[in-house]
Amino acid sequence: MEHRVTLNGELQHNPFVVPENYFGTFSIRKSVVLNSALKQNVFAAPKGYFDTLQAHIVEAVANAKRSSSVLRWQPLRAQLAFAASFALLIALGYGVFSFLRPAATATEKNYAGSFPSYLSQIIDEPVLIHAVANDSEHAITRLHPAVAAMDNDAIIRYLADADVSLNDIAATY
Amino acid sequence: MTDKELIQLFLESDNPDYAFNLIVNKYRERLYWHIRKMIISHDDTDDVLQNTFIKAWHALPEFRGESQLFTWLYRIATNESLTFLKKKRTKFFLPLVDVERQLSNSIEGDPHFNGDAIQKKLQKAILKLPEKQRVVFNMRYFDEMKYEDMSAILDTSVGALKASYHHAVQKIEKFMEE
Repeated sequence: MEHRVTLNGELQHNPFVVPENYFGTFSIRKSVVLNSALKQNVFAAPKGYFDTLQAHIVEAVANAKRSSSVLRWQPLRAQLAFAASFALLIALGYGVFSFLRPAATATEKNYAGSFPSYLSQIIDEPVLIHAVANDSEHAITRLHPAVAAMDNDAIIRYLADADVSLNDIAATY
Repeated sequence: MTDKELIQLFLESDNPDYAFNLIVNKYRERLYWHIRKMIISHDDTDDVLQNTFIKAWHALPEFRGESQLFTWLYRIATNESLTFLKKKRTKFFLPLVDVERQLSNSIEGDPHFNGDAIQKKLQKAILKLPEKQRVVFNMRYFDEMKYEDMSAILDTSVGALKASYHHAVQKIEKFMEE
């Protein structure tokens, strides 16, 4: 036959017991969490520290700003140094190339495009005009070999700069 | 001035230095004590605090108000403190336990420590906790910070923080009973 347990009044009593005099000696266990005295700040800062702290922080930030602007150039500095080295290398290479190249003749080197200033001191303009007007290569060469190597434009520019009248130049050419 | 107004002043005025000074003025002491409880030494705390504000200055132009200024600054300060302790460990090739010992010793000789014997013991117990758990305990126990704010600062869920704090308390109480 099945025996059924029903929640009758007899089952309602508390079956647990506590040790003898437990409630008589009960106290809240000492807990760090409940001890508010331990919560107070036990650290101290040196006297006057907070009075000057603001100024120190502002100064530190200003220094950091300065150094960060320098730091911004840091990566570029490497690139600039590389570019400068490269330019120096090119310049040196050109210098060595120019030095080793067979010396150009005086006529090629200096006189093809412009009228050298030293010639203006030894050749009078009227004499130059006369020589050019006569279209005599011999006469021009006799003036100076460098003049013979010059093109007409350079001679005209020189004459114009030397305030020889344009009419005279036009008449010459 | 509210944090929102301070940020607005920093981002929109012609004189961000002025706004930043106001921010420093508002938070310098709170951040100092937050860092100090982690680093213990005053001089080291001063260095970390300066770095915190320097980092804040550089990052403020990008601050878009997704978090509160207060939690944002605390996060920088916490990260700077943890980075400092990590650097200290790696610089001297120290295991974690030796750093704790060093910090404990620095409490002994610290002229700027005002606690009695039991408070000293509590601080030493706190130093035995893992660094992140130490931050959690300090924020909750000493600063009585809300878990929600701690969650925003430490980027950890409220549940995990509660569990971490609970474990920290248990460890500390055990140490205090010894």
